[in-house]
Amino acid sequence: MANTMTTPATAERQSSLARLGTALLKLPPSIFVIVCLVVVSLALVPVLTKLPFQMVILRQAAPVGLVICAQLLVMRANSIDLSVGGVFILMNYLVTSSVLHGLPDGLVLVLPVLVAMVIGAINGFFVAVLRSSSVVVTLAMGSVLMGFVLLLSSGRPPGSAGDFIKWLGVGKIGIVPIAAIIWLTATLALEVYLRRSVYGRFVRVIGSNTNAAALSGIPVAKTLFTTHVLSAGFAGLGGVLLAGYIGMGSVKIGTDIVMTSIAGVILGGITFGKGQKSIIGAILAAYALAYVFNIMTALKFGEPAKLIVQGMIIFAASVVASVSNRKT
Amino acid sequence: MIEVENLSKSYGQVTVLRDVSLGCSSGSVHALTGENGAGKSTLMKLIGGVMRPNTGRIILDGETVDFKTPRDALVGGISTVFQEFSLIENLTITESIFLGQERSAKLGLGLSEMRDRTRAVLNHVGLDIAPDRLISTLSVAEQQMVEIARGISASAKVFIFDEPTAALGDEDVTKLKRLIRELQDSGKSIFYVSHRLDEIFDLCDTITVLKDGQHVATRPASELTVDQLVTLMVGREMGDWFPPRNTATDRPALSVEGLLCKDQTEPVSFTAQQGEILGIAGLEGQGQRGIVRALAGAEPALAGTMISHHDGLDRTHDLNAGVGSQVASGVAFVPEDRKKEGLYLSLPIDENIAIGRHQNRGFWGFVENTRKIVREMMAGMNVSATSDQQIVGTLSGGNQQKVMLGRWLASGAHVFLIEEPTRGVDIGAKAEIYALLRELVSQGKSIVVLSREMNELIGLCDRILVVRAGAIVAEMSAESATESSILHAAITGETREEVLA
Amino acid sequence: MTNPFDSIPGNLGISTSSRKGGQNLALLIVIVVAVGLTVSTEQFLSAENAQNLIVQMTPLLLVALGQMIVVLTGGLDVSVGAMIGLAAAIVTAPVEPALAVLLIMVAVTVVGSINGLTIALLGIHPIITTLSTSTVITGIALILRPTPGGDVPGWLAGTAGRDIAGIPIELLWCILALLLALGLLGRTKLGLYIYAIGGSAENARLAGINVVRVTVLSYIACSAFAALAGLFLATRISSGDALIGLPFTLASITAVALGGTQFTGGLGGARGTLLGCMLLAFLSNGMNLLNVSPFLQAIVAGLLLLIAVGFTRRKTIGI
Repeated sequence: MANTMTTPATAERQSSLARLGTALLKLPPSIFVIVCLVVVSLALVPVLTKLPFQMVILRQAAPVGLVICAQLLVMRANSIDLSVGGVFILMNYLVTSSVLHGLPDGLVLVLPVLVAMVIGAINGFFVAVLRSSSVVVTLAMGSVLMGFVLLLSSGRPPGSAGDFIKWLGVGKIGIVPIAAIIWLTATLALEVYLRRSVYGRFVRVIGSNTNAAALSGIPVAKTLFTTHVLSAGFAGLGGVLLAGYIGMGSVKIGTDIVMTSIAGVILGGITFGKGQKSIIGAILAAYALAYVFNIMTALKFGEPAKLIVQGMIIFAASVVASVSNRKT
Repeated sequence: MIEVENLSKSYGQVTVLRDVSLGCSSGSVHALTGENGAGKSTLMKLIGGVMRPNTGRIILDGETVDFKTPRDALVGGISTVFQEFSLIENLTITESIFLGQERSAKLGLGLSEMRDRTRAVLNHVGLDIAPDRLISTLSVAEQQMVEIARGISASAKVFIFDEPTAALGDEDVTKLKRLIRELQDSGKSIFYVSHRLDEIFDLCDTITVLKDGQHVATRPASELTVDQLVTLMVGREMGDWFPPRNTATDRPALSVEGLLCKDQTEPVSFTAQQGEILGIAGLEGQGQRGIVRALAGAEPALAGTMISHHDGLDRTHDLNAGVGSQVASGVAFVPEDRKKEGLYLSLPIDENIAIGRHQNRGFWGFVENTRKIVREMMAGMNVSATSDQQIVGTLSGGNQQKVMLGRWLASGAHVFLIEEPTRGVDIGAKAEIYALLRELVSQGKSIVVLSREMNELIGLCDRILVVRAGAIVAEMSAESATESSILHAAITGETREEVLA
Repeated sequence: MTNPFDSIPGNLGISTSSRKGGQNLALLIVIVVAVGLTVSTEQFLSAENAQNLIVQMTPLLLVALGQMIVVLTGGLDVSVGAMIGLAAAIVTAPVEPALAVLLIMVAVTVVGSINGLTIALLGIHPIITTLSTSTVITGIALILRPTPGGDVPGWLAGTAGRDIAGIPIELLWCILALLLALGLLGRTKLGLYIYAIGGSAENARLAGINVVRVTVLSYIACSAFAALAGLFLATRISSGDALIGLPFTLASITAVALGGTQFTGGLGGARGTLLGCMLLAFLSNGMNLLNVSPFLQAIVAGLLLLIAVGFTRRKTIGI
């Protein structure tokens, strides 16, 4: 016995250290990223830590946060949605082209989100009912949507967003951006619903063990279908907010949103069903990602460097998540 | 010549094989027998390189060997025909036989050489099929022959057959026996794991009996009779931690009529009375599992009706509407493999239990507060855990089993279909689970139990149905049943009035 | 909504007599499309158009063959598009040709190893690993070549856009790549092990196959095919473009799926992938001839992929 020699005191210290280690592993990685970012920005670009800039970051985080929330929802149920990029482009087209001109403000917001949910339903049909691989189905769907928008707009960006959508994207109440309020309200409401609802429990058990869920009578297909519809709705809302923030039509947005959404989910501490972390991790992840981009912009990083950092973040976070899931 | 010395294997707390030694000389066919779960397959997996022993050693031709994979063992001279096949479906026969030790030619694989050798070896085992056929297109018997051909091709000295005839028809069995005799004549050592006593006496010269993972006896086959062998196999002391049987009534609780599922030829019918635990016995793979799963809605039923009687209500269950529908009408299914098929290992105890209640509410609705119910359930079943938030994957087997039962207790199910109620569970928890099941039936719920352990069925149940080849061949009261009477019925399909000893 | 019994896990469920996958449908569609185009357009059968077709198909075939290798193990590589861009960026960088070749080989090995190791050793889902490597690779390629341009070294310049004895040199590229893939899968141990792992990784491990090594090698092979496609594309347009490969990620997956290769692994082959590539090339060529918007082509390709995967049954549900 090697440890008969250790005194009780050192043994205790070791175990409390080990306990601290396990406790830290349980926190979402996004917390550590934010801590690092605050330190880095204090040292290099202290102005970013000031409140007005934090609000700017919060506003930028809103569309990203919504799409992370969408991705989180499907990934909790052991699925994935790679069509969120296509959904973003479609949302941008819908709110900036003339399709919805002249409609009441509320409808201009609601109709695109409903369209996104229809897309989610198509994804859900393929994934849950036909049991196709969600990776391939949503990849194809993303490409179809992108082609569709390019076809409709003949490759040129359409017009600009209406005032209401722009107000949603850039407006403020006091110093708080409206987009951030929408984002936080929507995600927290979703989280509360998921925690308190039967559907939310179904998502959790399917993520934990799909096979056991099916054998104990959980409606796996229905839950998965619903999840894709709900998720696409959140992605759609994110797309509308981003369109409002940019203010005009663009056929270029959305290409990196798939990447960002998955990065956010992993930073939030979740990979395909596993992980006990709450939505807070994902909210912080959205904030962290927006923060990273601002620091990189402030430090005059080019587009390539941003891509490299983003890829590295996902890679590192997924390795950490895989190792910590193995330990627990 | 192969010998094993003092082999032991355990998983955590549960020891499945303890200190077993035996040997098999060349030209000998050595039978290994014992009840379900006696440790036969484990012993063979240790010799065949699938698992490694915790202690003990394997000596092949005077040298100690240590195999890491079945391929290692095959190269070292030990070929195993497993119960679950280790062939890969999308490979051809040739590729399967040479997998891991392919022959090379000048440019890449020596396909024509391998094909020729395969043809020769297939010929040797009496299999007249093209070497380029995919494994997925072969019948079970043909796949088995391919496994044997693989051993012959690798010039193995030791052949292990683990229940080789379980899935074979008579004609294929004859073929297999002839092949085994040929192997014997050419000086190979052969281990033959089987329950089928007629085959053992027909083929083997030496018989070893295992029980509860321990060596009981090794005798020449000529010195044993069937009845002596059965006596050696049974007779374990179980203690008296089974609760008394005093709850059975003559009111029906569950009636199954004309149930026919996929691999069955003949429909089964039975009734469980209120207050009665009904046991289903049978040798491995005789269709008893299919019956239970069909009732649970987990596998298709071709025909049959199921009616439950509870609280004065007669419910007719739709067998082909899926598990969800059965759960909604009060049927609980507790699968054998609780880690893969039953529990949500990454979730805490409370969610694992409460999901059974939540399932009964509307899809869109909110969950009820189950905190109190879960706590009461945990206290009532004596689940030892730090709190109801402990992750189920970190619990012991017994506590996991209690959580799984607790889920369906909480949901208010009244028909319990339980596969292996105490697999991998320590003795203390076993007794608690038995008491719990007895209490359930005393409350008017009905329980059907499937178990490999015959003494568990005898101790726990009121009545035992013995299944052979998908049909119920015997029905006995547990009080008068003995392991040998069950075994006899399970092996021969005939009920025997008295046990010869 | 679905048959409740589908969720019971089971084996691969192959019922065909070959593991090359269901190519008949792809072959049929290829023939129908070819006949349709011959009838409806005048140019389709012209020598000029045939050459166009081959030039269009070559890079796709190269990437798709690599993608197929990974898919056969049960994986997926969405970093192929980025790898094309990186190879194109490196080869048009102002460095010694020998160094450029060496750098590309290093890049292929590193990317393939990272992809394969994280997937096989750490059990991270291929989509996550390869998506992250894809982003990093694109970043590096953009640093090397921020805007399209640069020169293709002389030794490469002669490998595209001309013909040898009347045969377009692109056709030679295609034949070479096909022979390479066919040889790898049908004539080597590695190829056999790739199928074995796709059939059952656990049984392959029990048979003594080093699953991690085979997985890593298949991802390296995939990256290598993508790099070849990058070299070809750079040569064809005589300049480098870091983003030139991005559309090929989806196109390669589509071609593999249309060619009857199953995403669960173990079923499919190079002939099917060739058919898948031909189908995509015919469609795009045909739509060009019929003056259909290129954007509609993207939609058609996506819909084809949806149809191809929508009608193959799987036992698992989700990712």
